[in-house]
Amino acid sequence: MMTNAVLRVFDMSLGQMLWSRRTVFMALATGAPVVIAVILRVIHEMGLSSFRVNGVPVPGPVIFGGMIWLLYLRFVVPVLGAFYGTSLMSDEVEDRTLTYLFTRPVPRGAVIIGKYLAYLACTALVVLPSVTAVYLLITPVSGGSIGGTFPQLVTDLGLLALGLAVYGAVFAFIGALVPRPLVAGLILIFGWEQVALLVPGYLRSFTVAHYLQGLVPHAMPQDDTVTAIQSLFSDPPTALSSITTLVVILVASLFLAARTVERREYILDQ
Amino acid sequence: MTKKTRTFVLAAAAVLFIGLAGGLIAYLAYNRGALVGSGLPDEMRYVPADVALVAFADVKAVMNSEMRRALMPSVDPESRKGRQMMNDFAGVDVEKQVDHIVAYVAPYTPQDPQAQDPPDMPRALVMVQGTFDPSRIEAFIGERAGKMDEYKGRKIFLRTEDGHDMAVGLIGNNLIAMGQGDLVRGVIDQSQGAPLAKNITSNAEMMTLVRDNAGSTAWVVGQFSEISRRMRLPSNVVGQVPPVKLVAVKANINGGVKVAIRAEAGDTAAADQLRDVVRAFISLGRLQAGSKPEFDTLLKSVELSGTDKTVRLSFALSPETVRAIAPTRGGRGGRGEQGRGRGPSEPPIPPAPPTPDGPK
Repeated sequence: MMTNAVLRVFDMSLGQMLWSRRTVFMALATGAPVVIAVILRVIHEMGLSSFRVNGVPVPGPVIFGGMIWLLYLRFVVPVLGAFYGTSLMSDEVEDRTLTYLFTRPVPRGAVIIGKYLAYLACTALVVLPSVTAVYLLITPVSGGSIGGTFPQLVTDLGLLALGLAVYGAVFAFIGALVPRPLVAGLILIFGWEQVALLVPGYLRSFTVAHYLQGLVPHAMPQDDTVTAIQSLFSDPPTALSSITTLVVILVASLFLAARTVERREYILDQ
Repeated sequence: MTKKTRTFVLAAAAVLFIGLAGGLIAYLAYNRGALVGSGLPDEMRYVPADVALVAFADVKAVMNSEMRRALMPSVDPESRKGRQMMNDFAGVDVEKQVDHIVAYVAPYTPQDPQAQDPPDMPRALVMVQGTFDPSRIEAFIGERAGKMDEYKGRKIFLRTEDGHDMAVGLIGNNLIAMGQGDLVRGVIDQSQGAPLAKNITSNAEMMTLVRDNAGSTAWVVGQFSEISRRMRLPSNVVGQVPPVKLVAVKANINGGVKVAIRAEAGDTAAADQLRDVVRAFISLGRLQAGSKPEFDTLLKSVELSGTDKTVRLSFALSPETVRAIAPTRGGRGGRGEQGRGRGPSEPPIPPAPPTPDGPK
């Protein structure tokens, strides 16, 4: 009963999400790295030495690692999680279509779970091919090799999928709980997480980014002072503890989101 | 699900699948190319094709061998200098932390074509596989005024020795590379996927000898010219040796040491000539061995063979023979019973007093 209900909501929501206005933002966010990779590759093929930092040649895998850090892990994944995750319930509330869902003979919890799975499929099917395309374009040049770094790509894809899943679950809970969830989500990503990662001590343990960064197979790029400070105080958790913690956050957030939707009384604007 | 949605899902899944499948094929091809054969260490993939000399030692097997247990009480502490040097340089305890070592010496190409002698310090790299404590290595380097740096996300410790830029790089949790800075950085590049122009697996001549040594406790394969230059053999001696291209020495160590030497001569005539020279040396040794019974087993086990351009020589060393040859506690160089019996405190013979006929 529950599974069928989840699958029905998933089926319905996937199409809605893919062809919504948010898709334009998602296409820009995931398409931009591919465009950058194409430009870099073309410049390189033309013999203009695009793969240089401060005049020093940099291998393709290092450039790819930098893109994973700076574009995907720090921007695309959390922002997509916030944009889509917070909207799972709030869109239905704002559009005043929540009544149609809740009057169906399906458990309320199945609605949020089905929508969450649709979000996950939608974002993963856009982000992961984008990462793969960037990898194939960037890695083989300037001394890099696809064969030698393929395990890193698999790790990258796994951790980005896990990041989308965890951020989506956290923001689904926030979306089910608070009014104006997108503002709360953006404050969480660009406020709390950024500050907590810089502060020495245990505060970083209360961020998703801390555990995701512990899984990245590439060296953290030392691009600015903030990163330098972050790496100075960095004490990355082990891969096992990172994965365990992220799974716990995911399951707990989804459970709380479903519980909130089951119990909360949503009042629609007239 | 609408047709449009289904098309998008299938297209995105196809892009992902094609990318992953392509990557997997490249990965399998890369690993197959990097494999150097069973019984040989993985680190061989980091050895360049034009290497002058490559060596391997299964340190763990040597440390656990009966031979070592038998010899340890009588081994001169001076002979442990190399092990101590490594400990001093990188903070690695060879006895406890090292599994095996792969080392190579890059070919000597003098900048000045007139120069004959190679530099004292060869361009070499030692790759040590084992279980290490990075913080201990870091502390060691720090104590000895070494500088810590980071190269492509890996810690690299730099130290200048005799004007050479020496480095210790932590390649992984169980592999460290020590040697000239550029060689260490090269290994880090390759460990992160940068392809080596050509590794030793593409050197068919050398790989024939290397594969022949697979499974041995320790072995060395190298170009004879480089070995003779490194050993600083006198030119008149080198001139007497028939043209030899490659030499391989392998040793299997347990209760004793079984040594096999293989030389690849330039042609069949040179191989025949080399066999004659070696045969003559063996006969000479047998003639002189009457007074040294500890060499009796060694000489009885000597076998000379080989066909075409290959010359093979094998012999076995018992712990007693090794003890007689190796530096012993309290004396430099085992010289049989006499050598062992001489104590370290024996005073030198005083010079003869001057005589009226002697030089003034």
